[in-house]
Amino acid sequence: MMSQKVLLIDLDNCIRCHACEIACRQEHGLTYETKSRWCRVITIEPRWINQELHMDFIPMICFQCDNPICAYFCPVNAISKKEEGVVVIDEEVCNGCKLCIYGCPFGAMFSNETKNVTGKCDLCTSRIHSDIEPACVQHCIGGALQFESQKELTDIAAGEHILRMGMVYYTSSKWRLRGEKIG
Amino acid sequence: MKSMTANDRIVRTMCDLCHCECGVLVHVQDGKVIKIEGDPNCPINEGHLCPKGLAAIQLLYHPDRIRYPLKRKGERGEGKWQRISWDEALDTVVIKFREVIEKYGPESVTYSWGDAAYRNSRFTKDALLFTLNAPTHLHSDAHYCFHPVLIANRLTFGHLLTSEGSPDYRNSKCIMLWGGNPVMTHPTQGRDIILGKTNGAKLVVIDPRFTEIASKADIFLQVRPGTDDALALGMLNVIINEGLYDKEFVEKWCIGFDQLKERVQAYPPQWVSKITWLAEEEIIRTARLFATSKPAATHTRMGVCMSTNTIQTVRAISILAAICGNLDIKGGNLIPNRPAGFKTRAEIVWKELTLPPELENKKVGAHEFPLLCSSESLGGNFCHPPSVIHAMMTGKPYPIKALWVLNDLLVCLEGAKETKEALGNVDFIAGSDFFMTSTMELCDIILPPCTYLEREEVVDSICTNNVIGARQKVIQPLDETRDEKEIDLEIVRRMGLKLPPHWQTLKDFNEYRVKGMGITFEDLKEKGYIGGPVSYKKYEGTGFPTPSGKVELYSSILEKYGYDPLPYYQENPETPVSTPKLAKEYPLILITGGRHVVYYHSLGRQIPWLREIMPDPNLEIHPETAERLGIKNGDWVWIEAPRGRGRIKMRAELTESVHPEVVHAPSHWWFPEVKESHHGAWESNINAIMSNDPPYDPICGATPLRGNLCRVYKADER
Repeated sequence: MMSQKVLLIDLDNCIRCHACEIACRQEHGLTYETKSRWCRVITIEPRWINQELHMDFIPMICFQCDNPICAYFCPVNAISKKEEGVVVIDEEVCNGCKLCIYGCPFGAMFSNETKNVTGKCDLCTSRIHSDIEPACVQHCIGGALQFESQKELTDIAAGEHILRMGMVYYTSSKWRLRGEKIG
Repeated sequence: MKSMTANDRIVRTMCDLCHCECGVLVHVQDGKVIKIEGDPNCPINEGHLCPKGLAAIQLLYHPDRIRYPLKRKGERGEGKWQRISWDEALDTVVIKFREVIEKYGPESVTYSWGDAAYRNSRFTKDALLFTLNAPTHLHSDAHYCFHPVLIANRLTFGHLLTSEGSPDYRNSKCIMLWGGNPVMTHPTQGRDIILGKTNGAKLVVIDPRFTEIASKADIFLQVRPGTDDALALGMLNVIINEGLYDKEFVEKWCIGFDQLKERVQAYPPQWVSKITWLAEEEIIRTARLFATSKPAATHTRMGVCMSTNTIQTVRAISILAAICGNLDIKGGNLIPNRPAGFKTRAEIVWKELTLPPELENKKVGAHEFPLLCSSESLGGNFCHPPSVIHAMMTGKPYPIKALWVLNDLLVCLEGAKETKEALGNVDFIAGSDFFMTSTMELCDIILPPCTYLEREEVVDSICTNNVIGARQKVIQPLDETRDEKEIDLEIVRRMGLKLPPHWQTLKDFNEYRVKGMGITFEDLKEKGYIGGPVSYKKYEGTGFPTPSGKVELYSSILEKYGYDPLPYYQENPETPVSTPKLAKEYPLILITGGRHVVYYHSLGRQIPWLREIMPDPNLEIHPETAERLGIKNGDWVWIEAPRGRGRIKMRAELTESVHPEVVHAPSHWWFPEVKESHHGAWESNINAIMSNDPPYDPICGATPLRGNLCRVYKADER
């Protein structure tokens, strides 16, 4: 059984290269027709703040919520949170009703019309069972995505501001420095 | 995914979908490629891989790939093709080439080159021209992109030092990126910049666009398009007048400092501020930061290479790197150092495959741009591309009647409509491409190449300055596709020509490149990657390979050719400043050609995973400007340029990433899903409204493509 590892995302290092998105699609065989962007980078568009331009990129995957809304919506109990924290859809049980897609406020669930089931990020469970990091983490060009044990994370996070969303931990130098000017 | 069986393999090879040439691990199941991932052991990419590399399966097995030799039926552009045998295809090429040579001479045969997929066939294509004694060589971006940097760097230091691969980002204290967004163009370099920043480097980005990498900058200078020369000279003014330069290095290793000092007095920061739209204090602050952060790494890219003052601009930036003492030091700009005994690309192409001077000087443009394309070329032995197109149209200085086209020339080269007319005067066109493009549709014969997954060769990526590696054949070429290099050698054989004696076959050639290292190609395949030793200040032993052996702030070569030996500022020919009357009719400044990571030049628009990320050609326009013009986000808009013929359509992307007076149009757009034979090449291709006429940069012949005028107005739907 894998150790309790979580996804740490350093927003400073996300350069909107989209490698995580394509790595995810290849790993999970998500073809064009299914339009499944389990992993995607969203852009907070350029804006002026105190005479400076700012733009931010946020890698978004299923947070594997502590108390998954999707599971609450599922009428056939196909969705469960596993012991290690990953929220998993049982494809044998899922009837493709899309209630969970409706319920998830983060747009992390996608319908696979070909198979008539819903799909989502499972943090590459099959890879981490073989002790290989998720495909998005391996291919992240800027090194924004890291797969860390909660123990290591506690060390990294010491004294830093971290935003936790389920198993996804966001960090940014903006928060660490609280707006202190650089340069 | 099925579990592994005895027939499953993982093959280590190197991607070639851009210049980075990252190490990849390719998973093969029952003879079919099922997954491509980054190789964690490759020093170039350390396990990561960009979208293009990750989506290569969709290129390899794309249903529209051309898999058999084809012969045109009916008129050019009618879209009627007949499958033929390789024998017939090759014999036709040989017969037609011979006919043209007999009638017009060998200089009337050329090939056009430009996309990554063919980089490794550069050797064999050059060998073909070499054996033919044919000097004409149409590299579609010879006059801008990388080659002006090569010329400007070599004039100054003798080495190529400000292009990718040379700046030592990871160990730097200050990274200065000028007119480039490596995240999009050379992703491994983007990674190195982020690592450098994590290690504490300050990041300076100079660009009219607020790009991905600009959003990470400590200082972002949103310079007025085409005024980078003024900015660099203003920074030199500050650094020299405040005495912030490396006095010891300048004293010992530079010539012409006094003349430079005198020259830069004409460019005080207050004046530069007016020219560039930047605040005076920002210019001064940037100059001081760059000069006082040691080591600093400098990079110049295409943003500064498409103006009529390209060479002097890159020279001024190169001089900044030099006088602050950042050459060949850890964290600065490193002199390339491939493994000892390795035959580099430059050695083979520039020495072994270079014709005698009397033939080299017949190159189209040799007289006008000797430093780009004569026997004295510093820029890589190409012709001047716009002049080649003009030669096709006018027959002057000589007719060009046979062409082997390897890229989508109509989409990749400015003046697309002129290029199409020019190709109409070419008697015979052979083409090689993965897909039917607007250019392939004009060919007489198509010779289908295989992808990198289906061939093997030695790799020396330009995104690293000391690593070499092996590309291995993962699967046999699909159907009747062939290694482009094999096709070349077969033509040479069938024409009865003689290749260099030490490489009669591709196997010989691979061995030849590594033999001096005391290894075989098999050894290289076994090892995967070999790096040259890391060393610094190599110039201390050898000097700089310039005429004086020093860094030439005052260029003796430019002086010899009658150019200004010192950098200067020059307003571009078509701006609100130089042509204010025209600017009333065309009130916006147009910058072109910003890249997206999912595409490489014209490649990739038929790859589903990639196209979904960037489905449309988006014109970046400021929200205030758009509002004034009644344009909403996502509207299709027309773009017109004064010297362009006609107009093109793009989709408005309202963004504050550009100045209200500036719009940005991406390049290389076409629509593979348009089935008519032009494949959308006239709809949204910015090169269709760019002119290939003069004025050019006097030294390298660059066309002004960034910072011209345009007007934009709302269109109906696409």
